[in-house]
Amino acid sequence: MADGQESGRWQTESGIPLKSRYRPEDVAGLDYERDLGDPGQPPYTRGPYADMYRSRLWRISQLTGAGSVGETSKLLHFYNEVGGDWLHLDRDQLTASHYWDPDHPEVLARKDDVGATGVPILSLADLEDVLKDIAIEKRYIHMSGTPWTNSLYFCVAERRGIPLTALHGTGQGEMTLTYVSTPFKDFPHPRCWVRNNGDLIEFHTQYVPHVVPVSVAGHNARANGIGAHQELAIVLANNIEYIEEVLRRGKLEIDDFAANLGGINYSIGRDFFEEICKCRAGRRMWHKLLTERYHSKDPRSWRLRIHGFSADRDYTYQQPLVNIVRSAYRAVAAALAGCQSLGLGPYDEAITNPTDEALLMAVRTHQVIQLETGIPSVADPLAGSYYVEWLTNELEQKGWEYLAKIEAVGGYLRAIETGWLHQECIKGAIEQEKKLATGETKLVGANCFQMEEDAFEVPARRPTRAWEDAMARVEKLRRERDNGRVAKALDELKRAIDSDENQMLAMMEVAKAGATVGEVGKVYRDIWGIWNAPLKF
Amino acid sequence: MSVTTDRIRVLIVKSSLDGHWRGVATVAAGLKDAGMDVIYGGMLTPPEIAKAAIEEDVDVLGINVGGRLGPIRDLLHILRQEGIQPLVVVGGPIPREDFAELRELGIEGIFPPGSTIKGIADFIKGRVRAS
Repeated sequence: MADGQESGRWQTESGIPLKSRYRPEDVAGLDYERDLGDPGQPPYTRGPYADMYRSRLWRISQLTGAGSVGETSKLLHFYNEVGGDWLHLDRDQLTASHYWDPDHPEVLARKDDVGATGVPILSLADLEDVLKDIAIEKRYIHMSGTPWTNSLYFCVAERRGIPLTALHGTGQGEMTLTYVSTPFKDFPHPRCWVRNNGDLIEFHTQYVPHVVPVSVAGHNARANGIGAHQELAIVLANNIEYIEEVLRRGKLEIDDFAANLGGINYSIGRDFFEEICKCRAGRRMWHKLLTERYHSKDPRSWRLRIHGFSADRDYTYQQPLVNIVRSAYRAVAAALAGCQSLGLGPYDEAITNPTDEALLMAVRTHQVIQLETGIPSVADPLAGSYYVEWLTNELEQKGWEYLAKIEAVGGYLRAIETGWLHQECIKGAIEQEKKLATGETKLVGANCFQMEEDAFEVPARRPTRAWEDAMARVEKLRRERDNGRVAKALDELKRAIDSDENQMLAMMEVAKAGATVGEVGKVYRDIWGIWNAPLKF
Repeated sequence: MSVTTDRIRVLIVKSSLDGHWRGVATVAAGLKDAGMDVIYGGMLTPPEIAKAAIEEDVDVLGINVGGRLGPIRDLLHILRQEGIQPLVVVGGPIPREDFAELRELGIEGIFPPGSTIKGIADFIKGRVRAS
């Protein structure tokens, strides 16, 4: 191709210039024991476990949740039957994510939108009904990772007589999604989330040892427009913020909780080798961070476990079935990179909350790669490739450089508060968009090989009366609960937060008393004040 | 519509509470590059959108639809009541099966993912200059 000869044309998605071939001298300084190690051995570049997929395949983790509590309960059973194994509930943005009840004015103004992005789980009763007939002690559960959402899970377990030590799962609890990537309106100040995650880490360490309290996500920032090396740094910076918060409290030592922090989420995007190398670099960086900066002595703290999320940021709205091919390549990349779990964007991601058919196709894509390709037989099969080792080194170096940049602006929290991180993302998004407009970046079906009439029409998921259902459930709850007990529990929550006590026990009583998400949101907003992302464009 | 300056004034908002801003950021930047004045209003309710459109005296209202069409119907009703008629264009992950309803509401500028900034800018210039 003639345009392929232009300088700058051959680079990774994140802008790392590429030669046409790599040779031994490109990795001349590579020391196997120091830089790679066997899988399951420091610095874990080659994977966190010795046998990798021979001992356990990656968990199939698809976001599920749409419409009402009843619709979502049915959807979870469908997901279960077809072989999905990680329950990851997608919550309604208006209500559950914003901490607003369905009769809050902001929600009333957009009733139609409720249920379009996820399920409105607004109280303990809602989660109990969503999880009806699902044996949570046998499933790997993704909790959205806030004191409130995790308390709901813990209370469901408690009511079923399941000890918290029998629960397995991961909580998200990261801040990039909440405050940078899809920032919520009039939300409690970011400091509230640092505090919350500190409380979660302490509580899980003591009472819920098999649920990763916090899994910092890189995916969402990538979707905004930053590069792979920046993602590496942002994930570390967010974790550093939490580590410092917990250490500052003086109750836990680094090795009491770091093992449980090392579950993170990375975006697996279009650049096949760059994403694989990013995962390898990320594991090596985590080991370095824990041993060199935090002087961790326990190898369990050094192993980064990665949840991959196939990047739907460049899924196309046009010819949407082509996204099945995109998701399969991303799944292969995640498998070669040694991810412990993986979520694939369903093919209709650019159009709708996934239909059952799209969810099924995503699950089947995982299964074909797990069971038919032979990829899981051997750990880190790309190790030793001149290109892969060189690119892993490049990403690591650029990742550390970007972390230094974040720390120079005052660290992760300051980078959010000041809007610095938002501007970095905006710059990246605009640049990526220009490349799509000029055709420098190709997107099949969208900016090349377009069709007048779309060859593949897919339907949209249509939630039915989700707002009406949510409102009726909240009204019933308000009628039937002991309002005195709710008020007392909310007062106690406020007191615990104000007096720097861990809020988890108070929050569990709030959940059990029958409080709603909006009532918890009010406590947070009253204490921390409201905040809106300083987006400037 | 009276265009008092040469520059077309555009208010970009989100009608939903879905916080994804990549689309609105790139469209805002692109329309600025195309010579327009662009104001970003954030995530607003239909009455807030109408109020901002009046206060900012805009020619164009660009709405990112991150959910359903209910808020759009409400907004158009309020705009009619207020007697203002900015050019309304919509974008975001809008299923094709909703296009007919949007057209019935009088919205012809529908820009789903994959639309080009140039296409959006040309559409706006054609409509605003023609009126």
